[in-house]
Amino acid sequence: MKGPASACNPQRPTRVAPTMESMAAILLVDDDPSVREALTMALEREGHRVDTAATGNDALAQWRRSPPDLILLDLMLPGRDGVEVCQVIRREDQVPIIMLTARSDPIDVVVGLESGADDYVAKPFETRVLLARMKAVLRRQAGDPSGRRVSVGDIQIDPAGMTVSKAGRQLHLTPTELRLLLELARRPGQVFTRTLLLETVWDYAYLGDSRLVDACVQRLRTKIEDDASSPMLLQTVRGVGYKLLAAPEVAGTR
Amino acid sequence: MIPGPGRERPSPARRLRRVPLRPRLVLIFGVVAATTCAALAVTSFLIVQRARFAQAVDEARRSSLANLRLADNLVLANPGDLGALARALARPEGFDVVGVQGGQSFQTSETITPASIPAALQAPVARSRVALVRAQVAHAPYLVVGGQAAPGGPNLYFFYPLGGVVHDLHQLRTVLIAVSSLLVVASGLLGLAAAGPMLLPIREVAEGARRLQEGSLDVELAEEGNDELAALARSFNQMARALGSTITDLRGLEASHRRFVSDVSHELRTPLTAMCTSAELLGADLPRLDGDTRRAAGLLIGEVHRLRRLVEDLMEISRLDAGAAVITCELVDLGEAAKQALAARGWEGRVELHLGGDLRTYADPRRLDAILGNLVNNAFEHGLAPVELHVAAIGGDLRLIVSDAGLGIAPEHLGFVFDRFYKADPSRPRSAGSGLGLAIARENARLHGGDITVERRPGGGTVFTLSLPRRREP
Repeated sequence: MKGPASACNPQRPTRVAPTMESMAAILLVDDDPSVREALTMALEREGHRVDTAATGNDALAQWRRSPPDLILLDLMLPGRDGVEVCQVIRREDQVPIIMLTARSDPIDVVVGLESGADDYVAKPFETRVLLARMKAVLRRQAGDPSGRRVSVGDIQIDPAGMTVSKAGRQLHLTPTELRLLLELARRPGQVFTRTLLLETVWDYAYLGDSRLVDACVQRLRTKIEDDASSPMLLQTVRGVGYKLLAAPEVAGTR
Repeated sequence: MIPGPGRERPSPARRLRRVPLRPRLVLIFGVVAATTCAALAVTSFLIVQRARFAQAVDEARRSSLANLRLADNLVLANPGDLGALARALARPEGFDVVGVQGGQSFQTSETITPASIPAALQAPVARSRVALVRAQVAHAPYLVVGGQAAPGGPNLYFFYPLGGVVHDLHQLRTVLIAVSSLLVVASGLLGLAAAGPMLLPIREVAEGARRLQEGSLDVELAEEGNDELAALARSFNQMARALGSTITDLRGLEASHRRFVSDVSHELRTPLTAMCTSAELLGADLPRLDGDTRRAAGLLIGEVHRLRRLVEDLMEISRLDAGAAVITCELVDLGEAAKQALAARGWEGRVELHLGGDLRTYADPRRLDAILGNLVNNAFEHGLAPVELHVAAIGGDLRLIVSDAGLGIAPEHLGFVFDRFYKADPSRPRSAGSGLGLAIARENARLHGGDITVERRPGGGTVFTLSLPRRREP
């Protein structure tokens, strides 16, 4: 779309250049044929390869047959819905998933994010917004070949190899979770605001949805904490944001 | 209870109505008792007084006539001998005598002398008649009877004391006043006691009305008894039920209306997604189209864009209406937020920004940004440069003031600018907005416990003021 940014949509994502770097295999899951067709055209024009699925089962079959680089997943699907599909995939695969939500009721977004999606776009969206989100999540997945290893406590993060281990045991993190952990681990003990994390991890130039951070922190805790309900490492600083501690902090000692 | 007085004159009854019910009842009981007691007491006192005096006069007349006859005989037997008469009447019982003949006189009491004889008696007695008057003699009330003992004989005056009668009447008066006062106090207390149970249902009605006002539509008063107060409770219950069902109906209607708007916007989203994506593909190819096709495609793209914004705003307003909107607060510097909101839209050069004071508060940054964007955009579209943005801390509040130098909104439209789809001037070209922007902005402000107000600037132009209470915790 042309013209100045509207008052309702202040996001100004950078434009995606159709280079070889941004080319990816996309699995597009949506039950509406018109949406599938229009989006397929738009994505192919950007240089991506697109497979489509109309139902949850269809999506899972496609995902097993040819694992994609990125999944665009509508949450409202006949049969197995998007949330269930997302949960099934997450059990085996950390492929980036962007939800396409027709219902942007807070509860739907939260449920979708908690089931393991990396980001979401509310319908109807501008194509450039979707492309910007895709580009950001693909960049996270690509990792950081020059990034140095970071260790916090017994957690080891390798940004180049995109691997995380805790006490020698391999953890399965999505690229977004890994990037969030890396960001927090580079300055242990420092408090990060949600706004800052949305900029550095999710590449939101301006005011992303803070629920993305909250949901991702929640998922990360289930993977790195001994008990996710009483986190010792990844702690909430009320009214400000989050911090990662190098070692479990015991009350009274500092 | 109290007859309604005429509207034109403020009568005592009307003044009484300003007195609360309980003292009023006490007052009325007291007044009624006092009036009754006074009437009874005065009447009975007058009857007794009259009877006692009549009796005293009667006795005095009888006694004096008998004594005069006795004197007649004595005078006839000893004419001119006043001493014999004085001796005969020396020890009278219950009265005193004064006798006068020529320059001589006698008296039976030391205090009652010929000088005590009332002047009113002298003339009739001189004409040989028997006469009776009430008189004050030596500071005491007396009945005095005068008459002549035998023709040409001495004039005799009989003094009958009335002290006993007067004393009895005094006592009667004291007793009547005491009893009446007691009765008045007792009926006042009775009024007080009666007011309690009488006022209780009224207080219940008042309490019910208050609860109704607070929104509990299931208020039900006890309808005990068969009196006027039970009728009041019944009428109240009927009213509450009628009101409740009307409000429930209206709420249901409103809820289904809102659900409809929400459902419609949801249903529109899927086709709109396909339309938006297609329109953008078409937009990229626009230079390669020619003539009318290109113009038609351009129109289509523009309208799809507008439709998308409208549906987004409809979704937002129906979320706000449904109370489903949540605010996630973090510490925000309002000045920084304003700078970033302008920068994100490329508006830095078009707005004069003035910041002052400590502008930190806990707020939802996205909603804040939406409000800011809307108010400033509104000033661009409907006002003229310069557009100014003042952010300041005033008292416990934070104010964000957007003003422009346009013609301003006509006073008759000012009250409606926050209404949905309100067009101040139908003849003006339609704006790019959805018509919901200000309504959404105000709802967002209210979610924060604040509000947005609008006013005309005296020199022209419109001023929108966002006031937010400063929150010191999330």
